[in-house]
Amino acid sequence: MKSRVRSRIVALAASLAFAAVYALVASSDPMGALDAFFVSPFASPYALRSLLESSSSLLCCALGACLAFRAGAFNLGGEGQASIGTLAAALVALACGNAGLAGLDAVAAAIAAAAVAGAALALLSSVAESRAGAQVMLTSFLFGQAAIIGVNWAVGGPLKDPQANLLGMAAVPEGLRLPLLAPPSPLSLAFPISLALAVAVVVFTRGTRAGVEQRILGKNRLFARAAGLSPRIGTWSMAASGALAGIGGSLLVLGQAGRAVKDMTGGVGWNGLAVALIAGSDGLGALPAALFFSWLDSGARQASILADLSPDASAVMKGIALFLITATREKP
Amino acid sequence: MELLACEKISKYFSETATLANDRISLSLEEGERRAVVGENGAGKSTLGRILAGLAMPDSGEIRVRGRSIERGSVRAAEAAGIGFVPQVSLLAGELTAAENIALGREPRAMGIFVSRRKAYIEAALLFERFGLSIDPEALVSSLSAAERRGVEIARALARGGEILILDEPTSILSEAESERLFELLGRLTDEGKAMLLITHRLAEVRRFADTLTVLRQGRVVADESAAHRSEDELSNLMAREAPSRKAGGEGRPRAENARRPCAPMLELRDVIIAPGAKPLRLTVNRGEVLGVAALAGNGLGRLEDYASGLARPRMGELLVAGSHLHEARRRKIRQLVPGQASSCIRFGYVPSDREARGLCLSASVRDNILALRLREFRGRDYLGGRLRDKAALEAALGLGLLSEVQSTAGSLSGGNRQRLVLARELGSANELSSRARVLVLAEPLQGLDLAAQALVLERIRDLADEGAAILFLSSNVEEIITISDRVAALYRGEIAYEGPNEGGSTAKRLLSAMTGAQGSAA
Repeated sequence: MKSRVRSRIVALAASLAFAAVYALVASSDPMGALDAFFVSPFASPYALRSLLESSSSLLCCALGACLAFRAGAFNLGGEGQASIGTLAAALVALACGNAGLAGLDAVAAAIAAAAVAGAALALLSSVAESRAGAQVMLTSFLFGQAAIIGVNWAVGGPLKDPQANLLGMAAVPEGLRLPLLAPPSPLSLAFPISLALAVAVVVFTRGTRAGVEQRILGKNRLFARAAGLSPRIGTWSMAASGALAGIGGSLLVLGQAGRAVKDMTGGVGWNGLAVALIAGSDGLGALPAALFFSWLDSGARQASILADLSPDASAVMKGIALFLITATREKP
Repeated sequence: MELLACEKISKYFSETATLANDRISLSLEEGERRAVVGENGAGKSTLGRILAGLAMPDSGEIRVRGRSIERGSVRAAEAAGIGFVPQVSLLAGELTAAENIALGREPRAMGIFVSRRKAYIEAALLFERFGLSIDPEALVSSLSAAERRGVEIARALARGGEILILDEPTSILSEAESERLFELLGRLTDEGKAMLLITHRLAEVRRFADTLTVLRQGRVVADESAAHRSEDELSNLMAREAPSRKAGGEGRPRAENARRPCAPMLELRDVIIAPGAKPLRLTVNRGEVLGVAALAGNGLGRLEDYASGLARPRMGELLVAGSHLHEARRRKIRQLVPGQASSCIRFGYVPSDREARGLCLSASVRDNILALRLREFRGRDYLGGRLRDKAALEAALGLGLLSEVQSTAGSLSGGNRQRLVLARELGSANELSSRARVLVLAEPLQGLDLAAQALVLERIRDLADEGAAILFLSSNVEEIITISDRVAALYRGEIAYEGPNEGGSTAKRLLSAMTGAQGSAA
């Protein structure tokens, strides 16, 4: 256990070292670039708060991936489930707005709709597996990609806001957005929500019977069957996984952006997978891993604004961290 | 001339807090056949793995022909001529026999491409040399256990093996197959190769070994000529404490069965085990042990699949306590529900494929032991885990499994894994509600030392006497005769003999029926 944590920290440190070397080599103002990259995300309360805000939907998607992985289902549809979550949340929020509803109840309804939509999409894969023996890894990916295309078409086509100058739906009314916790920073209720979900996932996986059954099922399906454990926990895990990704999508719509736009998820589902792998499918590890990824993202963004570095640097670093961590095999 | 020597090999496992090897030294001459014996967990397998380079010792030295070799490196061990045949097969099932033998050192064509033809020829030559009738093109997954062993030995020898280390090579073989294996090994030692046979079967020591190393709790307690001691002396040497061998040995008195009313608890009706075989009917009544013997490849595995309810036969059906066993009902009687009436049927199953079906290796010992009792605990027990730790420990102690319940099941030795499965499936001795009423036991004694075997047989007998119906599947006739009330033999998927257990004469009939020598059903 300890060695696992240690190997992960080493891998994360190595990817930071790469960032440093990259900044030193590629920038004409290396010290400024380093400062922008590593320090600026923490330099002010504002920067720190926006870092937390941007990690919330990533954390949700990562938690979803954790649940699926633990049950032995390789849910590769997180991106699509988040995407369909953005659409569902926007539709419900706008409908509430039209009906004159506002307040936290309506926000909760929009989030719930996103969860249901994400869960339904993920359940398609479960059904395909139990009915036809189709592999979850393949179907979840394909259903997810199809969902992204469908959502993009709807958001940029029939549901597009004619007044807006972008490919997106109408803005969600002010009263239906996640309340800001420390204006003017973008930190909203999204972060506490994702934290609460993380706690719920940790309690579920470590402290419930279903959590134990899920782990056994995920590690040895045949044994689970021989022991008379119900395979239903696998289906539920898949549904919960999709629901969490859907919630991740809804936080994007109801938070900073305030509307659903084309290609809104921007890889949050895929990064969620990477975060779950780094965290070893453990809800407790997902939090620092998600924060780490968000830090790399905002660091790279800052460095590209303040210094002359490419924002793509963060993708390379994420790749390095993921590679090093998944490459460390536990010795027998 | 001394081929292999190791000196003061030590290995400590921090996860289970055991000193598996404690300054072990031994040597092996050319043509020598040495047996390494000891109880479960005595450190035999660990020593084998260290010598083969699969595990890194904490200290100590390994020498081949007087030259020290790199420790913890399979490559170095193979280069020095050490071949290893592990207890649990490490072959790739989806590759052919020839590909498995060539794996990692594939012959090349024109220096680049892997040459299947050369690999095939090499394998065919090896098999022929050792008198094995195995098709090099056959997928390993389609081979019988004995054939797979043959492939593993050929594989070890193909790597220049002058020294062969075999870890419990007969554990999954029938007696006839074991005999053939020992013939092969005998021929190899005549060629000057040296053998290190890791085993807990004392009969094999007698049959095969010239010299003997006895391990107890990681230490060498005897190193001598094999002819030196009797089997009783040896088992006393091996034992941690004085061994209790109450059960086992002679068959039990049969008279008490006669009084019991016949109440079929487990029935297989018109099930077809092998393509083209006649439909088979088996009934296990309340309070009896039905032993079914068969050699590998005669449908014992299929019978296990159907009787355990894991596979549904295309023809016929499985009845438990008179009604059809469908998936949901099987789940219900497998899982123990608290507050359930003690008359309720509990279904126990000890699979022959322990690693795949019997255990979740990467989960904790605790979760494995309690896998059938998950419903017994509430939310707060799961959060803290203390109560579950305690329950797991109690269950483990019931069958003499001493281990940290938090460590993974995969960290246990083969024998202790078997104890774990048995502890779970047979239920605790003091708790009536946890005891199984219907049991399917497939090779339940595999990997156990004599003392543990006796203990398990005793528990099985007790369960039957309390009214459990037990189907006991084994390729070992001796086990079947020791424990069963009724016996049957399976040959090519059909019942070749069925009758009451009358001891020695029944054993002979069983043996001839299961080898196809005599087809008469009684």
